[in-house]
Amino acid sequence: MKWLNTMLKINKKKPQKSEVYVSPGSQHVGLTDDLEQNKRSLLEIFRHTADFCAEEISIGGKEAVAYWLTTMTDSKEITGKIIQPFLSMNETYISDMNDSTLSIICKEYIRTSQYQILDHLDQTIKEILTGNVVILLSGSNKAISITIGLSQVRSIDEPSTQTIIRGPKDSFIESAETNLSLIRRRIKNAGLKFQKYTIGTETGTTVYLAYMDGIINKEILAEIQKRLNKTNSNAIFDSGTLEEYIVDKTLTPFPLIYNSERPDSIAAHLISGKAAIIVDGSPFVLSMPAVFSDFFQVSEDYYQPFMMSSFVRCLRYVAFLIALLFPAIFISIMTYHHELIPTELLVSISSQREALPFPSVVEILIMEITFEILREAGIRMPRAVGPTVSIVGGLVIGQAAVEAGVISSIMVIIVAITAISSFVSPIYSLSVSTRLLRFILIILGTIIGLYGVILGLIILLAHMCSLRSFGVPFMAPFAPLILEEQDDVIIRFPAWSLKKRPGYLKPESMLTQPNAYPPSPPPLDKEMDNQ
Amino acid sequence: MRKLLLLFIPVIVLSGCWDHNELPDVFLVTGMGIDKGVHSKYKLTVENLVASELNPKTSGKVAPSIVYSEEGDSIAELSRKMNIGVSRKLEFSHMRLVAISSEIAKSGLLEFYDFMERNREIRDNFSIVVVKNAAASDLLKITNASQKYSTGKIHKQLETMVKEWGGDPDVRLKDIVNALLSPGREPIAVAVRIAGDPEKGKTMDNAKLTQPFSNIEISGLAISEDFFLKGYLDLDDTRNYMWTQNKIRSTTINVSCDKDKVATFIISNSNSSIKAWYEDHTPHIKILIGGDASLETIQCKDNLTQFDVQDKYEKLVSKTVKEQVKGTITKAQQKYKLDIFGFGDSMYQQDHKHFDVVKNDWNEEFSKAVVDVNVNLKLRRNGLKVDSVFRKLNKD
Repeated sequence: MKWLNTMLKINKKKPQKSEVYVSPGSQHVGLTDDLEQNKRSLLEIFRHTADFCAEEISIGGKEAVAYWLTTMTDSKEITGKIIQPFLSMNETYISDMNDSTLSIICKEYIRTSQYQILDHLDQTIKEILTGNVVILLSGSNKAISITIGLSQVRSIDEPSTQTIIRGPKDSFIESAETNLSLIRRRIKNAGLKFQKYTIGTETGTTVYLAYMDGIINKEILAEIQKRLNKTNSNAIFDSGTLEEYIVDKTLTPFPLIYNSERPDSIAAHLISGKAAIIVDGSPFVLSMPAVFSDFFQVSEDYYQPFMMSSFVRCLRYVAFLIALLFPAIFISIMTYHHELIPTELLVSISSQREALPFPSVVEILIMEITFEILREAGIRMPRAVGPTVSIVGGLVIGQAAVEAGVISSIMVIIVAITAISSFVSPIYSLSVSTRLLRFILIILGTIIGLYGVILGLIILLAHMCSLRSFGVPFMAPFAPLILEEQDDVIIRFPAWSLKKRPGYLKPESMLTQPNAYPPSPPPLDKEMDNQ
Repeated sequence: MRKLLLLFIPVIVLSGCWDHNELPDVFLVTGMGIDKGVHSKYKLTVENLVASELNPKTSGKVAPSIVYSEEGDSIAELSRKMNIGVSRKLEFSHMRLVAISSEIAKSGLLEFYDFMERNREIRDNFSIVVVKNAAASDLLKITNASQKYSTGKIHKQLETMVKEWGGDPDVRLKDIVNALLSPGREPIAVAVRIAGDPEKGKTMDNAKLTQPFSNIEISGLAISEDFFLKGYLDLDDTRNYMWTQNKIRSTTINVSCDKDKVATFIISNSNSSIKAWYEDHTPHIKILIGGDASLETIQCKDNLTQFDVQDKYEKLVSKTVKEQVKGTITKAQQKYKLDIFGFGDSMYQQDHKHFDVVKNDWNEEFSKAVVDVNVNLKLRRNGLKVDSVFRKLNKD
């Protein structure tokens, strides 16, 4: 613990500035009037860049160069939308060069509306790198940047980690812009804001902060913005990396930021007063502040009848407890508290373990670790050999170990039910944390029995209560207990009765649908009249 | 805080595991038999389960339990010393039966109750039985087809008896100790006997017969004065005893309705209470019994569709129960002069002043007490048929 802390402190307090990598062209230098000089400095920066493309064109009799990256921009679009209109321009169109010339050209000749006038070299480089076309004009110390849609984007698929039966089947993809549109299509409200950040000094990843203006608490929003600005990370490839830079506490097994690849759950979170962070290149969108109960809720809960989804939610909490505690409780009963289970069951377990060589804790650790290995292998294996793993693994765990007299069959049951229960958790990051905690509790249970398990649970609970996610208590609305908020936590009330946003998020506007009423059949006498 | 956490680690690691027991290292003791020893004070017999024999997959090779006896002066000592002849550590937490030979009970050598109350493993959920016609060790050896091991069979039998008919007083160690301490109550226990030849019953062949060579039967109550066994009451008395204790869950009762003819009723939802007071220097006890009766069978030719017939039977059932309960109490008053019913306890609660004067010879007072039993059973239903088939047959 101590070394970990000192390590974290070293990293915090001594940034070794001299060794920080500085990307070329990051100095804030203005463009010059001289086209040749601008060309030279751009070519210098983009030397050895195979996908860097420069096309000399003539705009209204003036010499001009268009720059873009072939890997980031669709060349066909550039020809059709930019170069051709310019070529059709009158030879003597531009007589003299002044500040408004560029904007007039853009207004009249560019068929896409998204353009920008730049006047610094570093801006120019950034625009080229994000996939835009930059045009330099001789005699002008400004450049035009035109946005052309990215060409290589995966199509929208079904979510691969958070599947549901009833409800929307689309999921986020790696393109942040597509993800924004998926959210926007669900919330047609002017209050929905997307704030753009560029994070990663070396990767320059585009990150969007989405929130509902007028709903989200201003303090929470300011906190998120502050943390995003403070990130100073060099490389962000997935929202998971960003999560570690902005989370309240790193030294915890629990996820303090929610992530989802389902646009509908993110949209629902935004509506309830949370913020979302969309990272370009990651199909997982973050949502915060996150509380413990968020990790037990699925968007499908709201699409299924409320009684059914309440039952399933209870089931998820039970499964969480099983995944966390079952092996630990079993081990402690088997080694310390034989009196706790009925004689018949004890006798049956005892008869299975009669001739086994290992103490039960060794047995359960063998099984748990085998299972963890299998799970890890199952994820990393090339698709083609996947079935082999499951067959061999299934046989090793299920049958051979029992028949060879190494493992008792009750252990297989325990490990199997624990494993299955750990998959019930709808958000993967929570099931990961139970996996870790399970091992700690097993060891505690082995050493001091149920007493140890309970001690472990008390420490765990205290830790959970101490956690905060962007200032919101992680265990809300259980601790602090807010009775009015319990209508959508463990059980879900019918949709029309949910009239308030979660109070622990302190939203600007509390009420959601004050005029929603329960549906009711027409009065009886009217019905009679109709007949 | 961090240092405090570091302190916790040795606390956990150093103290842990001291009472760690793996299942294959222990024998579950399900029964204990206590006899008089030849050389020492006690002979302790324990029944240890052979787990593999009780698993349907692996059973059928050896005996379901290992019974071992050893002599010594203290049960506590013996319980740890049984490894003279048994391979594993004995674990008493699943014990279901303590059998005491009548010899031990008569001579009042019941000091081992102290051990059973003190021990942290032994739980107060086992039956205590007095073996009437054999040694306690024999009781643990009678095999049986249904539960396989002897104590399991007796335990189940007693449990079912309480539920179905009320033929087991359902006492636990706590009840016996309370009765020993109380001046207004004498301890009782259930008495069992071995029917048939005990020697032949000890083989596995016994369990293979449809009618075993020997079987364990519940025979009634063993009643004692303080530690010393004084005598036995039979099974009907046990049921009547249960009635006074408000412990009847369900029972049947025969009512004679004609010469050699009876009607049988099932009693359910029964409840009773005791009122006790002093009048003219004589203790007065009043027992109020209520409950529902339902007709199970009738051998007489009464027309059950008539209200007055129903009325008649309702009164008849109450009267019969009254007579039976009264009879049992009279037996205890006159033959044994022992208040096994705890009327003294009721007197202590309800007429404290008078009881304090006589509490040291309450049994004497009890024997001359005026006991009134007030039974009020309601006849609720007649089963699936309203009228009797036989009555109609004889008409034509």
